[in-house]
Amino acid sequence: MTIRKKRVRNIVLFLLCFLVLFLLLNALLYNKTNMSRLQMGLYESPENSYDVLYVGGSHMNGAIDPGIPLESHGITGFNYATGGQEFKVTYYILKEALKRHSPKVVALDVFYIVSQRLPYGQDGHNHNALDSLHMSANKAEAIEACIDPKARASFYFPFLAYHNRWSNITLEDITFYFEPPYDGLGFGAGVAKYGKPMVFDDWNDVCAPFPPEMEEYLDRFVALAEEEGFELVLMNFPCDYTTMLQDEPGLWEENTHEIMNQVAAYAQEKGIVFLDFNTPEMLEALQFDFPNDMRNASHVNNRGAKKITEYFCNYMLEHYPQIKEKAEEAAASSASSVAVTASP
Amino acid sequence: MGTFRTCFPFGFLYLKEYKREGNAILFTSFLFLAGFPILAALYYLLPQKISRICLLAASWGYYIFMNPLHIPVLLSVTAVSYGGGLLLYTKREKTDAPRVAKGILIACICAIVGLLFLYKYWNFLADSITALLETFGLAVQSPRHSLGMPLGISFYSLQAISYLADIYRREIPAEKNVVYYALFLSFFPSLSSGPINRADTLLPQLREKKTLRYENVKEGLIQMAWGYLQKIVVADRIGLYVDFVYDDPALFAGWPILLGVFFYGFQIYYDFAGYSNLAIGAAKVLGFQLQDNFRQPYLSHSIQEFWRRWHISFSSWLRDYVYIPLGGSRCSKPRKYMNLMITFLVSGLWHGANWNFLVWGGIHGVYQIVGNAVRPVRERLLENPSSPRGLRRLKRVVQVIVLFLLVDFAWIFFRASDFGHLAQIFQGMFSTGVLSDQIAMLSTFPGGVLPNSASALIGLAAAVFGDFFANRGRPYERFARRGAFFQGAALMILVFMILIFGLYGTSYQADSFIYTQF
Repeated sequence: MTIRKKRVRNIVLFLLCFLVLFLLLNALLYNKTNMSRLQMGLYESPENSYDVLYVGGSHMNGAIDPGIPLESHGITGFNYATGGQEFKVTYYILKEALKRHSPKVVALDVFYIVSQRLPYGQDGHNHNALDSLHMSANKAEAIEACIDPKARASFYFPFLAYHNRWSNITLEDITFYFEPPYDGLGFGAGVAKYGKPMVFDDWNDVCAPFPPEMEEYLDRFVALAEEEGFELVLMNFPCDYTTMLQDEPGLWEENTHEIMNQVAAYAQEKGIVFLDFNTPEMLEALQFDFPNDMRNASHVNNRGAKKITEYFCNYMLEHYPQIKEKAEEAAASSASSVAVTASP
Repeated sequence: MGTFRTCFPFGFLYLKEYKREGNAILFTSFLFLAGFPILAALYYLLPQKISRICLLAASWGYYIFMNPLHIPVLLSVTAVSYGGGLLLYTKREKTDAPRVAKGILIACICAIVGLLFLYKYWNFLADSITALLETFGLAVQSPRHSLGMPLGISFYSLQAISYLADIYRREIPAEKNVVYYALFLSFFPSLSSGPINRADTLLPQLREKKTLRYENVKEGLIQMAWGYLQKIVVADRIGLYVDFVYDDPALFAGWPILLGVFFYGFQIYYDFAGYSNLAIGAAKVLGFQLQDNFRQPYLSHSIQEFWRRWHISFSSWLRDYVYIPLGGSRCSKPRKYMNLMITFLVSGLWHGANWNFLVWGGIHGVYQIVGNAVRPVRERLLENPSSPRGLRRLKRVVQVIVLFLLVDFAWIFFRASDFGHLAQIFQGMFSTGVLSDQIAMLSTFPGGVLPNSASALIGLAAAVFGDFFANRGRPYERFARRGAFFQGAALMILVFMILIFGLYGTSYQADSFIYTQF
C-alpha cells in the first residue's frame, strides 16, 4: 500500500472510531429526564392515538391521569407536561405533538403564566422539555423564542451542556437504553399527603395585567386551536398561593390569584373554557380535601388527581359531542367484543 | 434512533457566534471551529496570489468583526510601517543617508508608540496624575477617553517596530508587496495574542509558493488539540477556582488563598501557552512555521533560563530592541543591571497599564539582577560535576521548585487588580482560618468544587506530563515515530479529554435539571 493510501486509511479509521465513541459518549452523558415519556407521546405512539392532549407544567403532570377516562370511557389521551415547563415552551411542545396527533380537545395548564423566571425560564427545565424534541423548524423556533441567547448553542448541540455530566453518571444512564419502551400515558403524581389546610383565603374578583408575552402566547394557543380544529380548555389546579410564595420566593408573581382572574376574563372574552379548580366553588364541587388530596402546597397527589380527572372526563362527555361520540363508539366496540366472547 | 435524531440536527446547521462578555475568544468560538476548515480549504484551492488576499481578508474580517471602530488603528500602523519601511530602505540602501534614515525610524516608531500610548496608556496616565493631584487637594476630572483598546495592538505594534528596526540595521530589505506586508502584521492566528512574528521569518514564507503537506496539517492539528487541552481543560478550569478566590479574597483565609495563588501560576501559563499552541498550530495547518512561544518554562533552573523559555517571542523582542540598544551586558555591571531593570519595567508596563504590572516587572528585574550577581556562587554550589548524580538531580529539582515559587510569588502582583486587592490577598495568605469555615466557603463554589477540581487536575496531570515529554526535545518527531495505532489512541484520548473535561458550552449543574416533583 502506498503512503498516501495508508494515510487515507488511517484518517478514515480514526474518524470512524471517533464517531462511534462520540455517539456512545453522547448517549451516556445525555440527560434522560422525561425522554422516554416524551419520545413515546411525540414520536413513537401510532399517529392520531389521542383524543385529548394535556400540556403544561408539573401541576398538569400530576393532576390529570389520562388512564382514568381511557378505562372508564375509552377516551385516549397523553400527558406531555413536564416540571418547570415555561408557558412559551408548552406552546412549542403542543405544536410538536400536533404534527402526528389530531386531538379533539387540548387541556392547557395556565399556571406558568405567573412564573417570574421569564423571559427564559431555567435552562435545566428547558432542557428537560426541549431536548426530547427532534430537530426541526419548530424546535429551532422554540429555542429562539424561549431560550437565553447565551445558552441557545447547547440546545442545538446538547453535548455542549452535557459533556460536564460525567461526574453525575449513574448505572441508569446505561440501563436506560435497554429498558422496555415507556408504556404509560405521561401522568406522574406522588402519593404523599400534604397534611395541612390551604392558608390562602384572599379570594377576589380583581384582575391583574398579564406578565410580558403571556397574552401573546395565549392568543397563539387560541389561534392554534382554530387552525387545528380542537377544543382548547384552560386549566388551573388546586394550589395554596400563600404557602407557595413563602416557600419559593421570587419564582412566582405575588398577585397570582389576580392574574388567574385575568385569565378567566380573557377566556370569557375569547369564548374559551377555563376550568379553574383553585376556586372555593370548584374545590367544593370536587369535594376536594386539601390536606389529603395534595402532596405539597402546590401539587395534587394521586387522590386529588383522580377527582380532578373524573370531573374533567364528565365535563368533556357533557360538553363535547365528539368526545361523547368517541366514548359511545368505545362502549359499542367493547360491548360487541364481550358479545363475541360470550357467545357459545 | 429517537435519541440519535434528537441529538444531531441533521439538515439544520446553525452557525451563530455567541460572544462572551467582553472580547470574543477566537479559537474557542463556533466561528473559528466552523470557519477555519473552510478557510484552510479555500486557501489551498485558490491560486497563490488570491490565497494570500483571502488570508488577509479573513484576518481583517476577523478584526472588523471584533470591533469595526478599531480597524483604522491597525490600518494606520500598517500604513506607517509599510511606507516608513520603504522610505527607510531607500535612505539606507540607495542614498546612504543615515541621519535621515534614523529620523524616519524615530518618526515612525514615535507614531506607532504614540497610537499604543493613546489607546493603552493614556487613561492610566490620566488617572494617575488625577490621583496625585487629589493627594495635594486639587480635585480635577480625569481626562480619560472611552476609545477602548484595539485587539492585538500591543502585538502588532511591536511587530511593526521590529520590522522598521531590522530595515534600519540592514538585516532585512523592505517589503514592497503591500498584501504580504499587511498580512505579516495582521496574520489572524497570532493577531490577538502573539507570537510576535519577526519579518525575517514570516515574510519570506508569505512569498513562498504554498504547498499542502500532510505532515504540516497533521502536526498543526495535533498542536492545536494540545493547545485546546491546555486552554479549555487546564487553564479555564483552574481559572474558575482562582477567580472564586481572587474575586473576594476577604472571604477566605489560609490555605484556600494559598491554593488560589499556587494555581494561578498554572492558569496563566497554560492559558497563554495554550493560546500560542493554537495560533502556531493553525498557522502550521496553513503551511506557515511560526516561532515557538513557550518551552516548558516551569522546568527552568534559573530566572534567566525562565525568560528564555517564557513568552519567547516577546522576551527575545525585548532583548533585541530594548536591552541590547540600551547597551545590554557589554558595559559596566551597574549599567548592565540598570539595563535589566529598565527592560523588565518595560515588560511589566507592556503587560498592562497599571502600577501592579510595573511592580511585577520590577520584581523580575530584581530577580534578574540578583540572579546575575549570585550566578558564580550558584554555579559553584549547584553544578559541581564531581557531585554524586543523585545529589545533582536533587539540586536540579530544588532549583525548579525554587524557581516556580519565585515566579508564582511575582504572579500575585500580576493578578491583583490594585494595591488594595493585593493587600487583601497577602492578608488572607498569612492568616489561619477555621477549617470548618473554609470548607463551608468552598462548598459555595458554583457547580461543586469536586467535579471541577477533578477535571482540572486530570487535565493538569496530562499537561504536566506533556511538558516533561516535550522538555526532552523534538516532541512531535518523537511522537510521529510511534506506530499509527499508538498515535491514533493517544490522539483519541486527547480529543475526548477536551470534549469531556473542557470548559465550554453551558455549565451543567445537576440540581438545575431536577424538578422536585416527588
